[in-house]
Amino acid sequence: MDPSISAAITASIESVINTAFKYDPASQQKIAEITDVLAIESTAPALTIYCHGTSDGVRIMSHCEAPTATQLIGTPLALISLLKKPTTLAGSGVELVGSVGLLQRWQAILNDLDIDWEDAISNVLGDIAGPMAGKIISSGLNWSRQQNAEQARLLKEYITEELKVTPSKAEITGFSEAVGEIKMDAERLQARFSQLLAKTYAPTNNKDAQE
Amino acid sequence: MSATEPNNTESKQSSDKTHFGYEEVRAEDKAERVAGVFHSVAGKYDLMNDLMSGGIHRLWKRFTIEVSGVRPGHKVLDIAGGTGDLAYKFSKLVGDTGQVILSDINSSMLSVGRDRLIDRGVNRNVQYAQLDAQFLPFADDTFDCVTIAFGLRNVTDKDMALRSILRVLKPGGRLLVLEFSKPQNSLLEKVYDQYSFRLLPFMGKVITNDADSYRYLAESIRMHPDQDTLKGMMDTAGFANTEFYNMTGGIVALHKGIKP
Ligand SMILES: C[S@@+](CC[C@H](N)C(=O)[O-])C[C@H]1O[C@@H](n2cnc3c(N)ncnc32)[C@H](O)[C@@H]1O
Repeated sequence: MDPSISAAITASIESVINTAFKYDPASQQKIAEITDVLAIESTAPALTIYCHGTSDGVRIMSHCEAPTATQLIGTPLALISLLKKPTTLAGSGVELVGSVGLLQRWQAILNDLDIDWEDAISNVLGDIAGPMAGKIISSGLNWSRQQNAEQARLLKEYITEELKVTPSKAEITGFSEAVGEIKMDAERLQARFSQLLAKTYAPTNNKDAQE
Repeated sequence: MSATEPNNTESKQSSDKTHFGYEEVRAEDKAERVAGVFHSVAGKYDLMNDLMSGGIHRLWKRFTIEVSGVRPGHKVLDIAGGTGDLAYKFSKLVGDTGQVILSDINSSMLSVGRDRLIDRGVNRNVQYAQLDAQFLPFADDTFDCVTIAFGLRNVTDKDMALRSILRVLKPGGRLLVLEFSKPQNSLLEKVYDQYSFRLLPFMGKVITNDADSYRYLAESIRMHPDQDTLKGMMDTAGFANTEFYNMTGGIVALHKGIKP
């Protein structure tokens, strides 16, 4: 992944979490003490981010020169659900390498924070792929049950509005109206032309007939 | 002085020529011409930077900071630091036990940078120095990290600057060069050429009333060594483990080298 894209992703996630910390100074104080690096490796899309606490909140990086204490590997959805609430690793679909204590400290803090992850992720993805793509991807992460229809609608909107690859119904109607008008104009023109032709050639025709 | 005004003092006999954008100028004159450009743009430099790159320069710098591996207690020198974007981040990372030197050859850029850092509440661990990358006034083995962002292409003798940087780094210390480079895709290169040669000077004219300075910037970007050439220059200067990261398709590259 191009470093400017991974930097955009980590910058967005960092700002979402740090905004939440602004309203929760107690959590922010706790996070400042977590100086060990937690690596979170998403399998698809393939992206590893590194996190540790600072006095200004969390620092999230796309590249890390310091050694990591704990590494989590899984799909974005599995990773987020694991980090969001203090559940156990078993059956979470996430693989852990290193110290589990570090994970538990993060879980405790993130659980207290009031972050709308769904919204945050759509925004992050939206910054990169466009707002509509962001919505589709996050709806694909299956936040709620009745998302399938919603997703199909979004996908249709995305293909027509954002990618502009297929015409929308309105565009088709507009187009066929325009075609209809042109056709009528052409017919009118044809009629006038024939009329003119008739006028112009009427005497000549007579002449011709005489010759 | 206009940046691309014909150089009256240029002498035909002079053999030591260098590039000022696409122009060939005497090596002695390049520094003065570059200074003209940056004195002229200093006040609106940050605004232009954001507009020119669509804000992406912040992401390039963010990644640079990550690769720097700078941590509390480190001593960092930012060369050609201009308005202090990197120095600000470094000052947070090195903490009270570390030290950051924001430096630039140009007094206008340096004073804009200093004002900006002071406004942002940075004063404890940052020092300011007006200096030339080719002649660094520090003892050998002083710094854990030296950075030069969008500065090397303005330096008259780049090899000399690289040697000078190597000298002041501690063994194991690292140099990071963030600089425009060669886009890795020919379509991207074409789009980018149009952008930088047409739109950029135009924006420069509208915002700073100085199209010439921005034309110089566009030209100097094209004259700058590409990824492999710069890596080779770092190897020659004596850096070890040199490598580079292409960013935004190679429009910009971050080169890293370690002092053995
Ligand atoms: C495009 S600015 C980059 C500023 C800042 N590093 C950034 O990334 O925004 C280039 C800077 O290089 C400085 N410069 C030019 N020649 C130099 C030299 N020989 N030694 C040190 N700085 C130099 C200029 O004064 C200018 O401030």
